[in-house]
Amino acid sequence: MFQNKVSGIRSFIKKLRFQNLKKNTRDNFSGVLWLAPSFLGVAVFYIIPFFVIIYYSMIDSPIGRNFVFLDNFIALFSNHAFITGATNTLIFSVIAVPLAVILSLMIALMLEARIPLKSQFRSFFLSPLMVPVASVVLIWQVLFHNYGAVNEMIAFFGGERVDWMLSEYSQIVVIVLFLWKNLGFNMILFMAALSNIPRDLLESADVEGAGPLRKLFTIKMRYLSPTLLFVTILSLINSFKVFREVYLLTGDYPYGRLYMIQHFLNNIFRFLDYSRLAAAAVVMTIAMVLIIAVLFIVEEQYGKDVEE
Amino acid sequence: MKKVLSAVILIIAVVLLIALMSGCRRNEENIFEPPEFVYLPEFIQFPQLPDGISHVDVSNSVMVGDSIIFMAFPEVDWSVPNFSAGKLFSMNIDGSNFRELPEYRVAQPPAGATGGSVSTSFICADSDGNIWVVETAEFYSLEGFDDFVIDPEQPWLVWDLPRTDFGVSTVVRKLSSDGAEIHVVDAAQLAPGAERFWVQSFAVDDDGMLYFIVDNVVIVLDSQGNRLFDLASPGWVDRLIKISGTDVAAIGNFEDSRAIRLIDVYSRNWGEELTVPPMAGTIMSGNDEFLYIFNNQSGVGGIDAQTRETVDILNWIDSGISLDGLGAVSFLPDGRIATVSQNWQTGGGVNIELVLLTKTPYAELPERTLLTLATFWMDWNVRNAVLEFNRRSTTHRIQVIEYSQFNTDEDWSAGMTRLSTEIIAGRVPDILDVSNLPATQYIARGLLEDLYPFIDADSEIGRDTLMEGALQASEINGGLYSIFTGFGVFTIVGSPMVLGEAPGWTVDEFRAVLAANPNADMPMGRFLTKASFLEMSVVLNTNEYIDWANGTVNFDNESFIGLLEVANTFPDEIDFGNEDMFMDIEEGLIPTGRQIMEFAGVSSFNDVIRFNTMFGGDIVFKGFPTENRDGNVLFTQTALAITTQSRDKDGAWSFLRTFLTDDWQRANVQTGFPMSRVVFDELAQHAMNPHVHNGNDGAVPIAPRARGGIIVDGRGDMQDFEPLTQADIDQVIALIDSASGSTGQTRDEALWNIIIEAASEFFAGRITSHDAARIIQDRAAIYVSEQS
Repeated sequence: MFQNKVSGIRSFIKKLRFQNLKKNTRDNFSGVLWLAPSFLGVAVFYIIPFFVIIYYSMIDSPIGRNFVFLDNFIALFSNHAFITGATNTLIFSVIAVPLAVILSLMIALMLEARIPLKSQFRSFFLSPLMVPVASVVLIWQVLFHNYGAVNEMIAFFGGERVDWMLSEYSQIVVIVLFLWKNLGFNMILFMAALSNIPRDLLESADVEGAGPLRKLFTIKMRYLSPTLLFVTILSLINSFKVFREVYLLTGDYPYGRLYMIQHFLNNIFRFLDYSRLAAAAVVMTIAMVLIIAVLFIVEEQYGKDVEE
Repeated sequence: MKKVLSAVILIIAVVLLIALMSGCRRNEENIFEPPEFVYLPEFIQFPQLPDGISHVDVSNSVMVGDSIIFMAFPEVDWSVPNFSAGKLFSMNIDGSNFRELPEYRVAQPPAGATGGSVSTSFICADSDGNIWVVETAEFYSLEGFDDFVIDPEQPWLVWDLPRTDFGVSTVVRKLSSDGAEIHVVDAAQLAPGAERFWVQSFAVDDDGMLYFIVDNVVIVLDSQGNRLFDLASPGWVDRLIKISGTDVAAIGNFEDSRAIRLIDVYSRNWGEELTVPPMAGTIMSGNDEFLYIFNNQSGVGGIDAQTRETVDILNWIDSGISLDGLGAVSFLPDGRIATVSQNWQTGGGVNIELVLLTKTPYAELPERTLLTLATFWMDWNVRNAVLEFNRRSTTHRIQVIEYSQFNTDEDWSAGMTRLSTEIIAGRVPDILDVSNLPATQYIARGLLEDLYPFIDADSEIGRDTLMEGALQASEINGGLYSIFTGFGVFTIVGSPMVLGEAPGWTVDEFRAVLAANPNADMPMGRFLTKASFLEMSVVLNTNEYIDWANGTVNFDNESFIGLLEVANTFPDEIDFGNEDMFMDIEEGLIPTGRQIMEFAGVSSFNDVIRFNTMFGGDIVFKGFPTENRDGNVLFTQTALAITTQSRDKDGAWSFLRTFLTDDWQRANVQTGFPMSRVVFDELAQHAMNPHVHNGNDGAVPIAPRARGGIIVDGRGDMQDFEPLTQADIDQVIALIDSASGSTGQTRDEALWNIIIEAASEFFAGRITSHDAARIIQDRAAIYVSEQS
């Protein structure tokens, strides 16, 4: 009798399991089907081209298609144009990204404090976002031309004119342009993050006599770390995209200091140098992945306790 | 579940792998996509013109049934008063029944007229097969002409007699098929009160309504000649055509773009506007299938009446027809296409052929190996060579793809982009016309074949039968990657008394010559500016400043800085408004020492003769100033290459070699030194011969002064040119042998922009020459490095 009951329960459970399995299988299968179009889209437009690019980076040319393994990479690292572009892009990012993060954070902190004309300042820093790039470039050309407004001002005070766009100063011009264009958006992100920091923690710190700097580094920065990471990655990506402004300002072949890696990629496409183009794209991808991985690791370490 | 998931993932992986492999496979499909049909020609020779007829105008002809109607012009001695009237001829399209329309009568001269002409300017046909012509008559009388005796030595004196003009009259005649007048319309109403007016265009529609363009206005009359309405143009109107073979439309520029506007006779206003493709040349009437047709670069295109899409109808090279002397194209009722070819013969006379093209499936063409030839702009010589090759060869046929046809109004580099993309995708032609293409980059990418092995293996052509100096100058890394039909050498030429005996000079030596000749305020003539001096000294001589193989540039040196400073002594621009600048040329720039040298593209012996004359009989080719005193630069014409991906390189060579044969070079190289050593020697011998005057009494040598011509120092005076000596010929050969590199037909626009942008800042005084050189070095280094 007991045996029968046990057997009945077992068969019921088995049946239930089988039904669940069938249901799960059906659900999973339909899930895969629902995902398939998106996955195929990603595959066709991202995954497959990525592998094709790797393939192209290891052949001599799309015409000969002889396998050369790493020769294109070796050639790339001995190419003056690539090294110049990569170095300039790196220098630009190393200078512009921290500046963009730190300055926007400082502005956000400033606007968080009780200061007069707060909303006007906020609008002021956000206004560059509304200006089209072409107009921005036009303004910059007027400002930094050899006989532009900046040089006129310098000359008025008895200084020497500076050839802003055709000298080593050119990168400063673009860094200023980059900051002017990006600070506002970063600032908004920081302001949002600041408003999410628990007030009770800050009030407790006040009660316990913590000063503003201590509160900033021990509480606010901990809570800001995910936003800090996000803003840094965003600024990094934007720093790679500054090519657009530089191209509009100076064309295909700017002064050496402004020659970015995207100039290299853009120009060698026209010369049918698809293999080196592919190799450069692979190198750029690896560099981006490494930088972002490092940022994630740092954020993981720094903001771990807050997230927990 | 895991199994199902694994299966799905496996399927996706396989799909991805296949896609991946298909992306990476070597694409060997032919670049040429055969058309479904080609039009094969049948040539109908026009009979000999009857006596008294000087020529016919078959470009202004019309098809009526099975006949072509066209105008003919009588032989008239215009040196004395005479009457002349056009005639109408017809010929069946099979070449039979060539005759003058017997009943056609033009306007008769009024009483007392001494001379005049009746010209028939337009021929149209209506749907009933009637012919319509526009006739303009103009007569005059010379007082006392009847008693005047014309002196055969001075016949023109007759024109001194007092003249009375009878005015100009224009009529439109409707004629039957044998030329008999059915109806006549006085066209004076088209421009009431005007003494003279010009009918720009004329058309007749199926209802017999008459359309004219007079003074940029479309005027429509009914078949009886009553004026119905006028249409003013918002831009300008050029010509009238029939659309779809029925409605009449005007071609013109409406609101800043070329277009066709239908004329709506019901609303008496402009009707629908049809856009015109950017590459459309002459626009012609279509038929039921096509709204209209047009000449494009390579053949005839049309606008499909149903889809309104632009379609290629025929390609002249596919049809084996030369473009030279082709007239308008029209459809016959049976679907064939008719045109007329009219070519002047070398020995005199005109060869006229009616060409009937029959639509034939491409698959029915005789089977031959296809060779594709990609070009950007088709060279006239290459086009004719392709036609000749296709006619002659029983094994190969060349198909030409002209990439400029893919350019659009918005993107004039679309053709170039398409060619680059196709090459990257592995769709590589067999033969590339690299005259207007970046050959250096193609060579660096392994796209072009070294042609020396083909030359060395050829039974007739060898390096020793060609101008070896030119070959060597165009070598890249020891290889010859294109053959060219002709060549020349860029140099600076002048008198050795002034410039020094030895060829070649450095920038410092160049400046020293300028300093030693303070009177030379226009040292290289009056047409050189700062920019043009710099352009010719640097862009045509890039090898001096750029090492393409190693990707390095050499602009930040004293030599280039010196060159910038020399360039800065030239004027900013030529002051064409300054008459003094041109008035004092009466003295001559060179004899007075104001000009001491000339930039020269030496490409014929006549150039050398001319420079000898300009500089007093003795010249030296100094070349551009360079560090190594080797600034003579080769330039080439029509460079053709075989691609490494060609599947039939020997077949491609069998075409290319044509251009290097003595016969081809002798017949076709007109504007450069020939590549054939034999032909070069023949031309040299000819240049050393005294001029021979072929008078009535036979050939008379005129020695030693010979060869009349116009000297190019601005005066336009006739000068006597001396024949060359053997020493002159040797000097030319030395010039060719000294050429240090080769430049294509097009300058490197990107490089030039880099140079001139910084140089302009220096010329404007905003930066120093050192700064300009530094900036150019910086930017050019990147440009060159990208391509190394």
